[in-house]
Amino acid sequence: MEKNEIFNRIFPTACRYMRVNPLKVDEDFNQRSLKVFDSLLENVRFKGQHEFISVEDLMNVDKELTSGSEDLTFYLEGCKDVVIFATTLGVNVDAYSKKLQANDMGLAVIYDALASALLEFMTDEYEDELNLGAHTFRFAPGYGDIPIALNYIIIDALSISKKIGIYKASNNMMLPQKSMITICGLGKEVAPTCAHCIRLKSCSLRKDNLRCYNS
Amino acid sequence: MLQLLGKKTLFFDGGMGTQLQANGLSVGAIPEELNIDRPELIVMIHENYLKAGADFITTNTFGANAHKMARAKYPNTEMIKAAVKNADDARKNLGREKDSYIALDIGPIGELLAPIGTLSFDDAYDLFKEQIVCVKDDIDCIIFETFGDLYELKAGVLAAKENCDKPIFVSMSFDKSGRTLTGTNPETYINVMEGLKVSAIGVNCSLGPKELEPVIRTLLEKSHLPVLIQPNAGLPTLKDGKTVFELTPELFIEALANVMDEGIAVIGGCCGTTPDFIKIEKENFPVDVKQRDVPYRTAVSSSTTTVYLDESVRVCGERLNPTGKKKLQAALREENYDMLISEAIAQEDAGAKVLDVNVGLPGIDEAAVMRKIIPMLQEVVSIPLQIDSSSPAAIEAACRVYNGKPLINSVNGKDAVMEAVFPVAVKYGGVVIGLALSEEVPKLCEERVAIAEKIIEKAKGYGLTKKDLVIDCLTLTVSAQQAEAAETLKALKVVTDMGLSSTLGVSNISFGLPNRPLVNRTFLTLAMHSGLKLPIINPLDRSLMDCIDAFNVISNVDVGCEQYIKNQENVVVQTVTVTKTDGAASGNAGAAAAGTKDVGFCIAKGLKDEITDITKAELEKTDAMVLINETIIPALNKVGRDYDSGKIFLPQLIQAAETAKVAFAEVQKHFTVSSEKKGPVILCTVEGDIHDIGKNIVKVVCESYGYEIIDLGKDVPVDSVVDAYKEYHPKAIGLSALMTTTVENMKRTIAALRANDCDVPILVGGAVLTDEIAKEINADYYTEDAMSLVNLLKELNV
Repeated sequence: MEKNEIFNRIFPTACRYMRVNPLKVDEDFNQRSLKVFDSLLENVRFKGQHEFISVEDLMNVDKELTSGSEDLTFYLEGCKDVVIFATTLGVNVDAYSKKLQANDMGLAVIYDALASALLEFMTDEYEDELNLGAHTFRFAPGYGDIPIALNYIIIDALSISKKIGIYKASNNMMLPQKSMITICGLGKEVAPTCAHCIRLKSCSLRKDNLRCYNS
Repeated sequence: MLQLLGKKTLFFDGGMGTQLQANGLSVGAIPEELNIDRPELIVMIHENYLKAGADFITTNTFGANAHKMARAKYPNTEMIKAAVKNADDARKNLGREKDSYIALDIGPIGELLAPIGTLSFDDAYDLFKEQIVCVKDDIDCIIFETFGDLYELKAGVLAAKENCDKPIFVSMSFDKSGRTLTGTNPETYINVMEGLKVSAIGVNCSLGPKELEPVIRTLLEKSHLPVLIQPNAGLPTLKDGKTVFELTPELFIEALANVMDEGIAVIGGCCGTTPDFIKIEKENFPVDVKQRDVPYRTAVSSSTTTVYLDESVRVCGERLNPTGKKKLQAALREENYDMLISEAIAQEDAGAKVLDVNVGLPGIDEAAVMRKIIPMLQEVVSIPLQIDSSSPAAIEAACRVYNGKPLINSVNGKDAVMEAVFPVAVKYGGVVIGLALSEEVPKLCEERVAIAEKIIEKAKGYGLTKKDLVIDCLTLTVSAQQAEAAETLKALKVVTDMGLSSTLGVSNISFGLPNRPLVNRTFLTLAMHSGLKLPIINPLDRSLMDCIDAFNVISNVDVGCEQYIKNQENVVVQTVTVTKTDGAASGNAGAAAAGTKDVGFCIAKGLKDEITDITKAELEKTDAMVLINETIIPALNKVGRDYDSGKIFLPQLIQAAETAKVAFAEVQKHFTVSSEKKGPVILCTVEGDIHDIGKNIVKVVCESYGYEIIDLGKDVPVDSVVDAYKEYHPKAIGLSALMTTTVENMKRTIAALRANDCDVPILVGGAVLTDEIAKEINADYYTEDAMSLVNLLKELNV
């Protein structure tokens, strides 16, 4: 896909992250965004890993964690298998962000938002190549009541650090910062919703009539 | 073993994880527990590899560090001891005690080291040390394998060297781009690990033998150490929902055909390989290792870039040095390192290939500052650093935490100095600059060369070669010692003919003369012609950098004039008649060039690059205080209102704030005493949280409104916030957290502040915070974004 096409695809999402109305941006903002997008692409080393495992194996990776999550049970009800995705833009993206933050904070904010949107986009593309058939949306530990601590267990269980370089940081965070671990239940369709978001009541995006999901 | 290593081909074993999975290890289970739960299984796997021809048994301890094993049912050291016993039992069972070796396997910790991650270098060191010490007398060597982070590997190698006397093998993983996960290329890996004096260097995992061939070739062509390879059994593919590796033993060995006879010293296998793979390796690899003739080079490295100092001219940026720079001195004393970071970035962007770092100031703990500043600089620049200090303790502190192979500045001909610095260079693997002076500064070329020879001789006694040295032939001030300039040039020529690399601090030459740049340029050109390789200059001085571009063309280094054209094609050539000018005239010229835009307009539009000249011009006709109160503050306020009403957005607000900050800095030069700042306000991202972009946004916006910000950084321990409160007496404290999991640390931080009688407002912010959470954790205020925080500070009269 051409660079400009990718930019056009991810720009509205990046704007949402910045609480910017994409319809109101001026040419200068657009040009700055395009320029920093070039730098972003120079620094991206996207890596993806996916593993098909049974729902049973997933629930057994740490029963204490998984058994307490109603959302996990709800989303995976009726599914026999899941795919676990781990995707990252790599450490260079973080390093360049740091450099921008020291030099041009305004540009750093645009860069950060574009990087988040690009990771989503590249993970979508990665998922599409697998032709999964009927499947739930990709949800991540931390979504709803799914314990974020699952990230750590999954990183170790699937040797993710070794294979694609997503590492554990303290408090269940992951590094590089633009990294995701997500799960798709196979065999049924479930769309994402804002209803399970912990910020539902205090969401600043919703105040600005911006939404992550349709429902 | 060391007698055989590099002479006879030695064989490691193959994959352990895949063997365990084949024997029923389930997803999420901890392989190291099997050392105690199922020793017979582990012994059997080791035996199978020994029977296949392996000389080394790798212990089942890849992840056995205390952090990774926190979930395990046994203490990690118990599992390691059991693993070593299993390896020993296997070789005893087969009568192979004499001719097989136990390699303690150490894999990555699984966390990234600071500054990218949160794990400190010292903590990483301690984790490795614990793994090694508990079995150091029962093993034959240590293998650090599958590392993706050179810095973590350095911590491991140091832990091994300082706590155990067994040979150390290292092996990193490279992806298809030819780099490790944190961006290290093979040359850099070689340069750093040879400096640390490991016993063998290698590559494993990640790819199969065919895909690893380019990396293997680089190791064979550029490393002087025995080369170890352990590829996967090809690339993983999915078969019936399970991951399998594509190569059979036959295809695996076929894929190694191109490199098999090129000098590989140790061969084994990684994921997906089995005893059959080792057997076929043993049948096919030559018994004797081909000896390689690899030339020695003078090279320094960061974690991602290696700079050769013995080929073309490379610029060392001189600006991170407080000598004669009042602002930098103040910044160092106040521990405000933003300025150093900006200077470092600017120099790299301007074309420097190495950066000098000197933090020597009276009253400063140089070693402590080096320990802090080196990782901070390495987080934002990718080029190697030159550690510049007259204190051996500061040099050692810097070398220890430095990620790469540093350039050390410097020793001279005095025995005591060399005896203090050379051991540090040997231990950490640095290249050392040798100043050609001793008790006195020699005038003649011959005297300088004699001192250089003394330095070479002394270095030899420590195992350092000429390639580990760069000689500084000394730039003396031409206005005071005119005849000596030619001696410097002669000395450069002799030193170059001796096969040494050379350096000079160029601008000393012109001290005390008018139009110094002209003298500097001329001297630089002559010095390069005499063999100078590492000029230490200001890379932001375009006239000097242009000289180097031209020199590289004329000396046929810049083939096809490619770099020259890239750098010079947009330069407008003017015939300049140099006349005496005064400062005011040049100031006006700048303002005139800036056109009709005014300061307010620049702030509103965020024209950071233009505002300095325009502010200077306004200050010609407007009082500084009036400019602040009637132009800058109103412009900022309008920007703030536009942001609140949705007319402009966050990036534009920040751009305007940064522009206003530049204008403020210019205006402040016109106050006889520095204008009173508001605040101070302490800001930090709380313990355990590494996301600091939000906090940094707040900082920029607050600073643009004239607040003095004490930025404690990210992942700040609770106690450090309390200490800073006591030290700086702030008027407010702002805490940031992105994750729900770190809000708990925010609560602890607030509790600790309250327990220490903190009576200033505590403000919190971050993605997961709300008014309700702020109340729950006992904060005084929650602000949604940077602008509302500034508004709140105004309301609170901070």
